[in-house]
Amino acid sequence: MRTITKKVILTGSFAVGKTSLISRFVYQKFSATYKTTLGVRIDRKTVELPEITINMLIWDIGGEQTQLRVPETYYLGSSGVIYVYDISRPSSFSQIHDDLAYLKSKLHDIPLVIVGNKTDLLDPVTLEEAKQLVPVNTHFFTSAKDGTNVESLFIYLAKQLVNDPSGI
Amino acid sequence: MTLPEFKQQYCFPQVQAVIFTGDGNILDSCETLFIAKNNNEKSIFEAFPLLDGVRATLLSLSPLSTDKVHLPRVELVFDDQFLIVDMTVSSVWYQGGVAYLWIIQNLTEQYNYLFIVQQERNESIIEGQKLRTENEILDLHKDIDILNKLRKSRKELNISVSSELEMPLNKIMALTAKLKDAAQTPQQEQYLRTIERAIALIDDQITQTRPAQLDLFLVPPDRTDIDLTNLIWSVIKIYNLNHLIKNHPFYLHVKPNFPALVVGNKPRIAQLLHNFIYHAFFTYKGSSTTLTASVIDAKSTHCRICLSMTCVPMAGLLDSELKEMGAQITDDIAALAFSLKGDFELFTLPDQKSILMQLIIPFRLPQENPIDFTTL
Repeated sequence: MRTITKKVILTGSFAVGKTSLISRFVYQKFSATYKTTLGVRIDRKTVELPEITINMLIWDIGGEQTQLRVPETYYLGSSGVIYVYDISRPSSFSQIHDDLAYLKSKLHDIPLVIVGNKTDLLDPVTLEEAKQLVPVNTHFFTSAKDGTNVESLFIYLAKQLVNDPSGI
Repeated sequence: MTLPEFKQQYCFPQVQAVIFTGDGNILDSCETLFIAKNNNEKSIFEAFPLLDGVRATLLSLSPLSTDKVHLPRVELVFDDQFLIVDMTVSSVWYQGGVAYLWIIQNLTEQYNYLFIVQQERNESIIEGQKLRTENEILDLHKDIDILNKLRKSRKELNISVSSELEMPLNKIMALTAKLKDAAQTPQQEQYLRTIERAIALIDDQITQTRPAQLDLFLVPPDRTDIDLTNLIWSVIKIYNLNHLIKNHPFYLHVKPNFPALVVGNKPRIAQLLHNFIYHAFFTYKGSSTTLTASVIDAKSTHCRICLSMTCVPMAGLLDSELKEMGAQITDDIAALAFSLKGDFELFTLPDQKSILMQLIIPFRLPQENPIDFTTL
């Protein structure tokens, strides 16, 4: 089976759960204690697709209030982006239009997946209301705490990375 | 560059330099922070995923240029030791060939301070946002309260206006009905029709305030002596003219042992009677109605009054209509009856398509002149 290596970056505002999503996906662990990521942290996970194995290098980029503060060299060589916001905290997606425009200007023609994390913090009714507040289409609503959609998110991105139009 | 030169130039405490080739072989390393050469059997790109992530960019660097790849604040674990480092990769000539120089500067201590500051900053921002949201929710609740009060005031105003209007309106309706019987020119007839339409509109508006009256329960707590028979009649009279115009009979039957006076909250009792009788007249859009007022459980100090009203719709009603109206009537009357410690029940009699509404309310009797029901 063919193996390819792809760099994927997780970015978004601070305290939205980027590190927790990686921790859930790579180590199947979750910690409720918030610990900020200062710069960047790199993890690796192999994703097996039917005809290809993807060696995913996951760059967990420390959250900033705006993407403009993220060192540009972190983006070098990226094949895919996961933009994470916290669905329970509207301020975490108040900059989303500007952030996405900036990311698209720096990273041309690569898959960009938008994720609303921390769904476990809202009851179903409030969650539906909160979804209406998000000004962009979100690909996945996840919970790093209970694992909802975390695996699906990375598999979806893996398929996008090998240009599989079937997506999920 | 030779190895001694390389070490002299780059190897200081807290700084490590590693030289590797484009295919990932480690040529030399200071091993100040970690043992890079232990990974000799592996390519440097396999051993250090972060370099693999920027591999294409690194390999595009040329020793002829001064371009570098600088990655600040990289969090790494070397030999179970957590480090925060700044790193730079550049292309150099080494032993006659192109190589890559990776310089890692351990800034864990310095960044630890930054880490604490950033952690505290982020936490305080989140706390501030939470506080703001909580305050916004509080403000919203305050606004809702104000809105509710305004709505309530509007309802009260409507009710008071409608009560004021009811009597004169009924008079106008009666006079209009009489005028219709008198001889009229075609023009007068047209004026009368216009007046009737206008009255009907006002009447509808007044009718619509009834549910609002029910919602409010804004009646003073005072208890007074009430001539209940009179009160029932006065409520009936309000609707009676309208009823007469529509030519639908209404019968009131007061049983002989009915008390002359009861003690209670007059406005609230009047409101309950309004809602009770209103439904007999209006909900069924023309019914033949009989109201029987009687006493049950009579004692010397208190009694329970039973008002039974049978409504027979003139045109008949479908079962679905009966069910829907029944639910609405029960909602309108039962809550108010309950607030007076009374009971309300509605029965539909499918064979005759008629309705039986029964309202039972407990009353105190005036103590100055207690009635001895046992002798009646």
